[in-house]
Amino acid sequence: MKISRFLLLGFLLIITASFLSGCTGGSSLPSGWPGLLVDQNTGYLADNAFVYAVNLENGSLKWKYPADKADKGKSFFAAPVLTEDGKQLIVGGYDRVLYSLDPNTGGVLWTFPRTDKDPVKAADRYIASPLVTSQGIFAPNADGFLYALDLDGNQLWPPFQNPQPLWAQPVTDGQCKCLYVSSMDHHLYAVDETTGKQIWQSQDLGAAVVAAPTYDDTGTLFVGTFGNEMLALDSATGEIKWRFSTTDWVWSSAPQENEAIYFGDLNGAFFALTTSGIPKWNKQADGVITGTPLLTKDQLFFGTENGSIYAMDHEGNPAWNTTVSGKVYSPILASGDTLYVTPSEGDALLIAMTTAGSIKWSFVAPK
Amino acid sequence: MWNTLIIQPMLNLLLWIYDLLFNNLGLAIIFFTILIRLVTYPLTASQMKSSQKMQEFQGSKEWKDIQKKYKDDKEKLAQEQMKLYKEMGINPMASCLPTIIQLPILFGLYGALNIAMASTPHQLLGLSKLIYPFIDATTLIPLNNQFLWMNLSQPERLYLFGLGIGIPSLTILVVITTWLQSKVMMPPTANPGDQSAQMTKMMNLYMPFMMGFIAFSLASGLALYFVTSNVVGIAQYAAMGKVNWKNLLPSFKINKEKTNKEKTNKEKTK
Repeated sequence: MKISRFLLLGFLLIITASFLSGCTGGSSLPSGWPGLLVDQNTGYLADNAFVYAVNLENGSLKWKYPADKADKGKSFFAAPVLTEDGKQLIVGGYDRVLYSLDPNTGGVLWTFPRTDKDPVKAADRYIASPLVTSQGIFAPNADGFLYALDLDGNQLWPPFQNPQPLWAQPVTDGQCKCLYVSSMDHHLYAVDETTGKQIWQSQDLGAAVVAAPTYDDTGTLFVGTFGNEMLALDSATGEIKWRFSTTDWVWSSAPQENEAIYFGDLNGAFFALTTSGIPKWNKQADGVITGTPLLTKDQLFFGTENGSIYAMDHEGNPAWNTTVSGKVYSPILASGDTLYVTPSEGDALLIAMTTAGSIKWSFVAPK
Repeated sequence: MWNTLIIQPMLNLLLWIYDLLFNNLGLAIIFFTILIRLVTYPLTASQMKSSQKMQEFQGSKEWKDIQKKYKDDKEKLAQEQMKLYKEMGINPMASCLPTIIQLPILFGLYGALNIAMASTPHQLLGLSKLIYPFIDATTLIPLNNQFLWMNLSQPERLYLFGLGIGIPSLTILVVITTWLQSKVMMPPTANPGDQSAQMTKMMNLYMPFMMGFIAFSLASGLALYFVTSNVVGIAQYAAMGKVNWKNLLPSFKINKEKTNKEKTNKEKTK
């Protein structure tokens, strides 16, 4: 009797602890969506506990980091980025560490910070991918800082400070020697690439920005916000040129092609606007759209939370749609005539399909 | 169902309070916890009354006599126990029921806090689906997680000048206040050797460490909730006049036990 009561007490304590930790992200559900980089024959996939290098010919695993068991506390969701010489794969972790990996083996080349005792280090997760240019590595962090490093992992300039988390990859147009940084503090910033000094700050855009801006060759930046809007800004001054109302928060970036931009919102509405902000057409998808649409020469592709993949031409005429197991939050990527889909909580981590929607192969997490 | 009935209303209430309290999440958590403890006060009071009745029952002469009489017949003992419950007007479930009713509130509060602090894309997407239309999320999100020296979405560590390691000060507060609450709420035990007293003792020993472990590992906003809830709990019991401050003084307890033993011996001699 006495033993069974103590067992019951222990059981209740364990249940309570499990429930509480389950409620707070201690569960096995991932906290972000997978990030993919496609490079020639290799796909680099950051998905939860591992970074995988996958042979894009057949979907076989080349290597994974960590090589053996998952390392408790390490998880990766931001898409990895290759340096221009192709010798380093840069990936940010939820463990507040930025890793440089050998793209051929997955071995660690360096980390930022190098040790816990380093005076400059991120205080929060790397949710967005870094921007890697010939000038260096520019890594936004959820602690609000943009860290600038050279290709050996040494600090280039003191981190650019922002009051709110940075969840979007910085962007450069290659002309202004500046970085465009989206912030959850409702602003877009232009930062000098060589000094880290602020060039301009946009006016309050009305809501948080988690999407990377896109740009065209007329000096216009396009960025969506959680204020149910798509905005166009002057890339030289940050002045707002026009605003367009959507039906819900805009999480995806808006790629531009032939004087039109394309993007979706969390209500599943998909829009095509001219670069002057005039609606061309819109479609309703079956669920939340967070991923940036993929534009090819004559088609566009995007996924939804319900696992649907939509293909249509640039005028919005449907080509096909199909469904995969899981939720498609991440952008769809392409290489040649193959599409790469990275569903969350699905059977496969990476699915290769033809541009007609037939599955070529699936990459499943190795056991 | 769980989200719609429990988490969503609590989450929106928290966001509304956050908006009122100058976008200060720390203050919002403290105020929100106090509010919930006040709303559930009738349940707490009812639970306390029932526990006290149960304690009186445990110490009653009738119950001790029945225990002695039927110590070898458990079935009969149970029957007599129920009979005595009826006679003394005790509902054995009355002390458990308020706790059971409070559990969904506790878990809901906990879940709402966790969702509100959305610090990952999945959490933020989840949050976006739970906000009522009348809450202006565009101005509120992201919530300002900074409170004093803490980032409420991260486990808390206090870095003092000259110290290389961070002190988990909020975790220490959680352990202390949980221990304090369990100690001052524990009514004097009529029979310290019985099973229920032993269980309570074990629970009071393990609970602070379990809560401390959770506070150490998870977002400090939750630890802030634990500390506030414990402090308000102690204050509520104090207001009811039920707080047993003597439990905090071990020497007093020892002396009291000694006195009790002496008294019993004297009575036996007589």
